[in-house]
Amino acid sequence: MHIIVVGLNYRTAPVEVRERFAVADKELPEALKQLMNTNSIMECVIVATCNRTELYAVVDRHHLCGHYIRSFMEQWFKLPRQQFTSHLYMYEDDKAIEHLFRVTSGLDSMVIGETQILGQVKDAFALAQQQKTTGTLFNMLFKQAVTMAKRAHSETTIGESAVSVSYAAVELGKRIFGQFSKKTVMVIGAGETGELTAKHLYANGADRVIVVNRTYDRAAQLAEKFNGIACSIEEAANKLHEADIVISSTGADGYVLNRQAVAEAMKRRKSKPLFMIDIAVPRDLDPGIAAVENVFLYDIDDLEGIVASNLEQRRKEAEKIEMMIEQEVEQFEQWYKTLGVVPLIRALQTKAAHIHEETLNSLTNKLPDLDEHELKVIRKLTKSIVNQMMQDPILRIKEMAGDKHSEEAMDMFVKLFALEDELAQSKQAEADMAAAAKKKTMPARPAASALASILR
Amino acid sequence: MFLTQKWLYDAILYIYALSLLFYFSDFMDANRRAKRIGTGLLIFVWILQTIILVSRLVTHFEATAISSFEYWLGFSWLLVTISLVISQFFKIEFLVFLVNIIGFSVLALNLYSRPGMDEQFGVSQAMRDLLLVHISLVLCAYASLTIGSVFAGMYLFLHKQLKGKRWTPFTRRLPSLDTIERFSDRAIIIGVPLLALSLSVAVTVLLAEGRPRLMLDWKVLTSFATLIFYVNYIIQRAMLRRPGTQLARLHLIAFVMLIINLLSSYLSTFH
Repeated sequence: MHIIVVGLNYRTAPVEVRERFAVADKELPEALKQLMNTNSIMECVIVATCNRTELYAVVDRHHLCGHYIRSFMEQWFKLPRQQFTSHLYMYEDDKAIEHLFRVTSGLDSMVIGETQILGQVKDAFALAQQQKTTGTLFNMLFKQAVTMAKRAHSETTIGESAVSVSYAAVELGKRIFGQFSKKTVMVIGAGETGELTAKHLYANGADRVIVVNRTYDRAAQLAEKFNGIACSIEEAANKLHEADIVISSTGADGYVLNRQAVAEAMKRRKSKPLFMIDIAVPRDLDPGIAAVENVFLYDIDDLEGIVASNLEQRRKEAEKIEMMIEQEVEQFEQWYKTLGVVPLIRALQTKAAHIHEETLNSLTNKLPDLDEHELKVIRKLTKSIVNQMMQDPILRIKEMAGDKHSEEAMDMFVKLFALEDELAQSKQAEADMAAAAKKKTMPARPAASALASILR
Repeated sequence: MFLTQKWLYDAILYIYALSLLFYFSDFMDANRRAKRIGTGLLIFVWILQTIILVSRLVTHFEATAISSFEYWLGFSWLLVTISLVISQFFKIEFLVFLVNIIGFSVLALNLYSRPGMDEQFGVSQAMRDLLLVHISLVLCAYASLTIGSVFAGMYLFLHKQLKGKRWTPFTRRLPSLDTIERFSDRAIIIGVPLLALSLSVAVTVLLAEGRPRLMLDWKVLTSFATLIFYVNYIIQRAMLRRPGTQLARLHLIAFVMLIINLLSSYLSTFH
């Protein structure tokens, strides 16, 4: 069995391609069912977000699975494969596992370290479980990935710093005021970033918003969004002492506020600090304002510098998470190797039970006078001998299954106990059961199965 | 008994140092796991300190003497306790590390006044209760004002970083200026009345014992000078509404006075 992931994301495909591979939430259950009916696929999960569409699958045939999954994509997204193959990536086994861990912990995201993807992977896995398209492997793998991502976010600071100019302003404000309740924000000008910053501050609890603009109507329009008040540029200087945070983003050629006006306002503010954000180019706020005591003045370059520093910090934290991922992949592989030993143990137990039963039959034939109680005691004791004889080999093979040369050890185990027939029989039984299960689900989707058979 | 306590004291120092190393790792590299281990070790230090302190107090309870060893151990114990309580209820990065550097230094310097080697403050039986109140109050005041000064230092550092637009991982992890100022104020509000009360109790003891001349002792004079510095801070804060940086500087100056007061014990004739 192999684990694979086939998909496309913001790095490999532009938005006009990604949007054609979007899967609506309500369509996901059907997509999962159809993918499950695709040849060679034994378990599957679909992770579909605005930045990626990825199909995770457990497959029994290594070489053809990519072809089958592309066929599914052709059919589901109604696109010829020539149009999207170049945008696709496919990872197998170790790489696929590592990729899932990276995606879940936000290392593969556009904004490195974001946590939204964790919830999206969790939802995708929950839906797949609900649709019964996951089994032993994915139940273990996805749970491990989600747990690991949570640990990555709690043990590192990867998601803690702002990576956009407007959030950087909010983060800075928090370093000064702690929280924005009972704080007044003055927005000068109606620029897009200024409005966005005011929006974030308002959402973070800012009490009052004063909007200042050359055009009073535009100011009133913006003020309405924040239940704020509008005022003219002339009034702004008089109201400056009321503001705790000033965001300026006008298109003016000269300075809108100079050092003297701010120094006057600060006298009226007594000991309260003032945070001023100048997002305009050319600048609105006289750089000399920075020298006024208790005033913190930041321009667009300063904010961008903070974003760059935060991104660098996130990259450093990502290195820690990469190390965690390495350990997790190794841990999963250990678990996966021990999984291979289960059929062997079952085969040995079946064979031993069979021998035990035959021996007891022979005994009852040779000693027909034994009563019920004697037979019960003999059965119990002989069963105990068989179990004790098997105990150590089972323990040893479980240990060896996690070693480097596990396959050789397992081969030797099969040869030593001559388990070839039992294994072949159990494989056949499993295949029959799987075929029966697939047949049972076919009539519910006649169109899908017809298409699938053509494509196969 | 002394030998057991000596071993215990050494163990506390080693574990305390180890705990600070883990906190330092968190301080430098935001290492959460190191911080957790550091906290675990610090709790262990607190337990061991409590054992020593309680056993010393129980054995001395009936005696009319308090040693400088117990005095400093009590101070260090208070710092550990308060830093653990604050870090448990308020998310203030670096506070435990910074406060416990002082706590550890006090404990390490206290090696010079180990049990058996220490001088004892002998007092009459009648004044014993008042003296105990004086020492308890002054230790609490010292602890509170020490923590307050850590906040004042944090305030000046963060203010300088923000004003100078230096955005570093340290800046990101420090609490806001507003939070630091609030905690610094609280420390003063708790510490100054305790200091004033402890001084008034001490003066009562001196007058009741008929030793008013000791009011001119270095320790007593610097204690009053320290109190005046802190009262000045409160006036500047409450009435003149000085900006945060000026207040933080005043706070640190008052703390320097407090350290001088602590060191003046060595010049005192009766401490």
